[in-house]
Amino acid sequence: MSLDHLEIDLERDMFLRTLLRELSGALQDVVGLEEASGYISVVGAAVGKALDEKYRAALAVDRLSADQVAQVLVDLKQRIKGDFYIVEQREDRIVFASNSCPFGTFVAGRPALCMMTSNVFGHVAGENLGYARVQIDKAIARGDPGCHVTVYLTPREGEGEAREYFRRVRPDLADC
Amino acid sequence: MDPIAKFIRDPVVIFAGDGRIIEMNRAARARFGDSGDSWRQLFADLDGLQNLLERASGSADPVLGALRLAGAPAAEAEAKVEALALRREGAIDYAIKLRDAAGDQFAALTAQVRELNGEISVRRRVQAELEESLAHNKVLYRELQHRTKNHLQMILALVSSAGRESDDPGRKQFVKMLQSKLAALFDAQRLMYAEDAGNGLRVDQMLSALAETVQTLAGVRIAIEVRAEPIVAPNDLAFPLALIANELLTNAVKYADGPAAAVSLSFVRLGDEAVLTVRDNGPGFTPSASGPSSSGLGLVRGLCRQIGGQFTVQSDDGAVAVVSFPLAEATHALS
Repeated sequence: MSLDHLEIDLERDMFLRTLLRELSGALQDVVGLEEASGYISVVGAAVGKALDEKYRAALAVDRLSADQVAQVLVDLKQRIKGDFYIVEQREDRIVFASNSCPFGTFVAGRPALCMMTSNVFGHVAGENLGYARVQIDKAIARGDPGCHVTVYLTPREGEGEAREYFRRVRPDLADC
Repeated sequence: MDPIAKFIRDPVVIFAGDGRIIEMNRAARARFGDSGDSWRQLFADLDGLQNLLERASGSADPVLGALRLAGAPAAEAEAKVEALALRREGAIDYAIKLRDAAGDQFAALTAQVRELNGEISVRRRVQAELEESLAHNKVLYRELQHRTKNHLQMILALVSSAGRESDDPGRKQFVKMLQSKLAALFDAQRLMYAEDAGNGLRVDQMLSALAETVQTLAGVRIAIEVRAEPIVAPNDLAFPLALIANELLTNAVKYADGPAAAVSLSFVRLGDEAVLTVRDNGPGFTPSASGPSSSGLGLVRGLCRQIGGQFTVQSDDGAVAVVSFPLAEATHALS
């Protein structure tokens, strides 16, 4: 018997988002929000590294400029239905906003997933510009109506809850 | 070393960018010794360590990872670690902390919980198997009831046929007596199957069905009044009771007298006992009587012994037969 006619809200994207929501929820419940954020940061940094390499290869540049970083961050979010846009761009910062999360309603109550945005933005900006400090001012995951993310491009001391990112250095330990 | 690191109970090691050990806290020295000054003293995987430190260099926060410890058996899981890049005057040093290196501080409790979880799993599996087995047995039991009912019906039909084919009055009477007993068993069995009553059946329904059967088999129009409380009796009580009631009703119908012949049956609960009374308006009963009819009463007495009951017969404007017996725990009144 075919069940094709049933109106069930299920396809691959929906399934994967549900899976991600439940995984992150389980992680938050088992190890706590802070620890879960740490684990998701590992994933976010890896995703950020992969996307940064893709965009640099596509744009055929060794490093992205600040303008390119801003465009890349908006583009990658739009490609995954994040609907991010630039609110403000200055020499020392890029401010982004969004009214929809790539995870949709599945992000509610999962603030650990914000570490994906923080790490992807931070990695792309830090790797190309040397330094980035990502502050998530508002988040749908925390119950705000939209997301508001500021990427600072110059170091500052003690302003808000932000995470800092740097260009990576691979240490050479072979001779020690 | 940063004084804060001295407070940390987990081992913390600080490396220079070239892999030299700069400092270790007390826990790290206790864990790894302090004889060497290379990362090789601590970790077995150069590539994994470099990847971890590279990731740490990209963040101001500690990053999580896992590393194989030097000298650890191949089967042992990698150690959980956190790495932090320390930026000092243009150079980067690295701090690595082993997480949960002190081991499980509640090992006994953890072992106990694990053991209990294992036991729960086993019990759940056994319970699932038992439930499945029970469901299977229920199906078999019902199938058995069904077959028993059909076989009884078949035997009843064969006996009836044998009675019809004979011209011998004695044989006809014997067949009728046999038919009556089988019909009583059939009624009880039919009810049990109809109600899917694995544990017992409604005595009031059984007695009403029996009264109808006796009436039909008697071939005479005698009113049988049945007043029975709705009591559920276990099968091992219900079947003897059916045979007892059948004997008493058959006798009562046989001896009820005249155009106003009437038989009544009552079944009531009195405390822990049940009382079955069958009354007719015939000539009354002589206990010393013997003959074919007394064999039925012998059967009643035998069945009373089986259920722990007492049987009395007296005359009071007809015969009054009373059987009282204790109600088993499995017997209960319907609320």
